[in-house]
Amino acid sequence: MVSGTDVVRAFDADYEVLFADLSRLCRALGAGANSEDAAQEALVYGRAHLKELRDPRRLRAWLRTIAVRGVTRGRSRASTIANADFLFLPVDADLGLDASAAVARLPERERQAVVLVYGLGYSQDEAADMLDITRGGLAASLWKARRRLARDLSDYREARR
Amino acid sequence: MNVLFGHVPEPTIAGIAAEPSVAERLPARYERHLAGCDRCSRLLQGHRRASSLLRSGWQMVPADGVAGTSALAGQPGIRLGPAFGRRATSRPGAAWLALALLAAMVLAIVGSVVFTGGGPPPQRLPGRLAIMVQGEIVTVELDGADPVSVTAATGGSRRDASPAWSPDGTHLAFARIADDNGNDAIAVVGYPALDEVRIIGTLAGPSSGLFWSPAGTSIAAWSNSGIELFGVDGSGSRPLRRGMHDAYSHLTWSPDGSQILASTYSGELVTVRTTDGTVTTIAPPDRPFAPGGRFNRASRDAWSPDGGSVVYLADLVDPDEIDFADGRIEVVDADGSNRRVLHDGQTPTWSPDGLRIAFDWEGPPGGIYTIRPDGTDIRFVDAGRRPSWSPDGRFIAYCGGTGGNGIFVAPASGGEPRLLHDMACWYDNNSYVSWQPVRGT
Repeated sequence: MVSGTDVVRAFDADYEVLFADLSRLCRALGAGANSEDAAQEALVYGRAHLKELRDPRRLRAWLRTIAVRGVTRGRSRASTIANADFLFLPVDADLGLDASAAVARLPERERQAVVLVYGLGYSQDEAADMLDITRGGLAASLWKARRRLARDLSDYREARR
Repeated sequence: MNVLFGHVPEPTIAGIAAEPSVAERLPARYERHLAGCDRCSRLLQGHRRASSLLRSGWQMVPADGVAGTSALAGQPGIRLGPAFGRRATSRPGAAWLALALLAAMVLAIVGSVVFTGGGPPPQRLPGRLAIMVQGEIVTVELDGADPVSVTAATGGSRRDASPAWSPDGTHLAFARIADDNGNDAIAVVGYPALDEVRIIGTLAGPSSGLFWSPAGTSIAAWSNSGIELFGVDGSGSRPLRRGMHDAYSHLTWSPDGSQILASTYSGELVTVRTTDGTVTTIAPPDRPFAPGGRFNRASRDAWSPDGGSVVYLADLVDPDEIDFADGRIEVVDADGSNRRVLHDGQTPTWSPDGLRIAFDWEGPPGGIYTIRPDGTDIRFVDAGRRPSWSPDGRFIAYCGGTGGNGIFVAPASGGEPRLLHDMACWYDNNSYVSWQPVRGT
């Protein structure tokens, strides 16, 4: 069994790794230049609230959840996508950047789901945990995203007119 | 051909695109249909492209190098963030429309039964609710239907805040980032046209709420230096009272528009005369900077409809605590006399008919309560915080709830709550619902 003290030690020992992991996650979700700050905030919050972690084995997943929520909040008013920012997008050489832009235009929840599952390779269960939604909710978001992309990437729309 | 049922279901089309082996197991009638149906083959093409894109390599790409992202934010047809209010640009065929209408009717019937706990369906409110969703102002129907992003429709870029309906419900005011220094502009737009955004002034600092005068001619707001008044027609903007900033308090106009209820940084509950800014303390703090002292905070819609009393929060915790977890609801006459304690709690707000006060309390059970102004007949509504009455007093909107995160609406007299939007109220202590007043409500 993992004790509370062990978790604190593991947390401190893995700080650099956790920071890198969370920074990457925040950047992928669109935190831009605020990614490292968001990662740091998640770590500070997590360190201060370690007692709330019910299953110490889930430390990393728990921190990811905190970071994802932080990014969601931070994107509200503190930042927006600016020209200087980078976006984490799929880049298909055949389809080009215009197609990638369709992912950037997805609604926030759908984009987050797509980035976590397709971009970063998390399982649907992990992504649902991070977004604090049910597995079914995540699957619904992915389906809606796929359907929206299909319409954006085809001449289906014109065909119906 | 049977138009309604003849097409290949879209999940099947998506399956073919994502997994070639699905095509091998495809029923013959679908194969025949795909070979001859322009609509389905185009959709398959789109899903194949989407599948290819999602499964390709992912990279960090400069935003300004991607068509349709930041450089185009705010331009027609391009929006960043939730696609609320995106009226279908792809027009569904009659068959799909018929199905959608049928489904909507079934959902409406089932929903109304659920919402009233099996009783008769409520009369639909004519007004809409304005809420903040991750930096966008969104208006929705009472049941969360027909969301329209005011931010997107007016060329915003996901950083609007503080939605507030005008008293006659014909205009919506909101705060929009004015510059890179954190200052907000006050924008006013006609509704539902949403065709001309007028900036009526700029705050020194970020908005913590916009508050219309009862006549709809002025908007009061906190700036970094104090309370400012802005003429809705763009004229007559002026500082009303400087040097008493309290970012966590709300401003409430008296029903006759002659005074504004506010609280100061040091915890005084005051009224400010709107003609000349004269301040009158109606509830002083008690040792405001000492442990165990009391701060007073003005809350939202705090004036009784008859203008005789105000409700407020007496915050009993230390001055750095902003959640007022150990606060107390108090009522005082508008002249400062007859102060009385109602109950433990926070964020009190007076019902439009003046008969009850809603607030949130830690409980148990924690959540939204209503109580009579004399402190009797307390009733539990639902888990949640920051209540907001509908103009007719029949409903209360609030953040959180038994269903989790989001904005919920429940009958004020008790009943099944309904989730209005699941992505609101996540982060912003100032994210209240603004109900659209409609004549007769």
